[in-house]
Amino acid sequence: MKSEERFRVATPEVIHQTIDGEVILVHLARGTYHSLRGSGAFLFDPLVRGASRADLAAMLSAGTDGELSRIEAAVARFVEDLWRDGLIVAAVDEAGGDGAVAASSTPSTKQPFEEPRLETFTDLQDLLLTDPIHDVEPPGWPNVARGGPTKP
Amino acid sequence: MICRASQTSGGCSETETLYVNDEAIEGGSYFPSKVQTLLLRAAFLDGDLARDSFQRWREIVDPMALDQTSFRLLPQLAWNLVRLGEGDPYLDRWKGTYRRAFAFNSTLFHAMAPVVQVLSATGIPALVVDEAAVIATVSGESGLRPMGDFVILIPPAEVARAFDALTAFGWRSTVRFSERLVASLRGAPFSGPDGRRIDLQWYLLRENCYPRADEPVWLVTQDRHLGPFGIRVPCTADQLLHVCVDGLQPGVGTRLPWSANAFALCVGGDVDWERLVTETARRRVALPVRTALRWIREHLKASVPDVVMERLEALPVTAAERRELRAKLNPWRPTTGLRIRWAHHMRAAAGRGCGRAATLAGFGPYLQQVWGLAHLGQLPSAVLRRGIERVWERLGRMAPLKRREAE
Repeated sequence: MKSEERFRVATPEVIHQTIDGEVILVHLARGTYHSLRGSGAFLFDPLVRGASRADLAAMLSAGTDGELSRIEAAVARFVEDLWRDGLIVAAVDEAGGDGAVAASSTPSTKQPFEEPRLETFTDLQDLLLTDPIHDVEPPGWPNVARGGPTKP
Repeated sequence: MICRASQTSGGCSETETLYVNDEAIEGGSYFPSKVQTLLLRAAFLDGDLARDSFQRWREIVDPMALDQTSFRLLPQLAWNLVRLGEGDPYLDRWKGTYRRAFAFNSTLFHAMAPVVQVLSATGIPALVVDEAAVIATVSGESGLRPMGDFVILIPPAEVARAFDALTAFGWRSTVRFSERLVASLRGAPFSGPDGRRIDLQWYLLRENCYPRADEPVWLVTQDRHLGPFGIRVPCTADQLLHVCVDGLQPGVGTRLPWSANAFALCVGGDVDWERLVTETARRRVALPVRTALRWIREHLKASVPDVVMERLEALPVTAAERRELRAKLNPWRPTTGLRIRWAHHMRAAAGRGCGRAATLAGFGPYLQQVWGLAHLGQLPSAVLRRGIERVWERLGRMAPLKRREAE
């Protein structure tokens, strides 16, 4: 995987939605559920609009207080995870991202660096059977409580 | 509007009495309770009205003990609270209901897309109707509306071919195809190899089950998307009419309330109001449509134009239509089911141009089809059994209330 490689969402098998800054994805063919944590939600939109890993690392570096080398490694892992789980595919014949994507998404003040992380839940059908109010940990579905009903 | 205690909802007891043409009709199962109305306002409205409604709702309810109807509104509530910048210790859980609804609906649409494609490939026109159509029409954000059944509408002339196509695709129905089935029922449920279910309908409304009843529906349709899947849905005015009339049926408590869908269509659906009035008159459903629209105007501040309400209010309503509405709003009387069946049968017979004698003579065979009886001789015992079951259900519902009152 080259650092200049560009990606898109693996539609139609993968669909995604954003709620309150959190990106959630469902891989329909594999039956998996995913959530992007840390700076993952921030990176997802430019990534699937054609920004390369190098672009993403530059964006995070400009917007956060992390060291560039650490950011580059974290972005590489994040993109690798998304690709390995089948959520993105290479955008081989499509127009790539441009500077405008990166520039418009860059925060104006430096934030503390948070690693972009992909959270994966593999058995969606089982998860869908759980009660999303009573049988979950305080962060809510799909974080299922193992020890019985919980309260905030 | 007068309120008095009688129905349990969200831990509170209340029901509303509605006045339709100066006749009081109990609306416990149809109209959202006062507590549910607060939740609807918090979930759909903007600014202080939404915030105040949310605060009042939170003072009243235990979020861990919500009724089914309220539970289904939680994704929309979470979305609106985030938009309003309101916090709550339960907000993360409510956002979880959005995530779950998004995941559930997405897998449902993924499973249903091939079914729609099978019908299309066979040359059968197919419209997605009901909740999935509302999702596709209003915003496409499937996480806001937890889905129940997936409903597909086909023309009545295509029912035989649709049965064959779905059966060949591995789907099974609990009823067998016959011409009398098409004449008697609005549709039939099918189960897929993986246990999923669709409702195949050949008439949009139970109130209009006769040939050509839905011809205008097929003339104005919209291309929409459910996630990545392209579908066709009725125009927004027809959907709004459908939501208002179809919501007014006994036993809809496990679905998203009709009021939520009607409000969403009014706000975000670009309604052709002229068509709504015309179709309401042609289908003779003025009473439920204006009752529903009046409610969302009054309680959710929906922007239904005054002139539309005036024209709906001016439409003629027969005594039979009033009796029909009264029966639907009182689902727990022993004869309710029979009275509703009779009303639907009369409407279908009128649509087919049957005279009084033919209508009367046809009611027995109609009930035979609807109840799946092998022969007409089983009818008296079936009527008796259903009456007893209704009384039994009523007693079963009353028992917990009486216990609570005693406590």
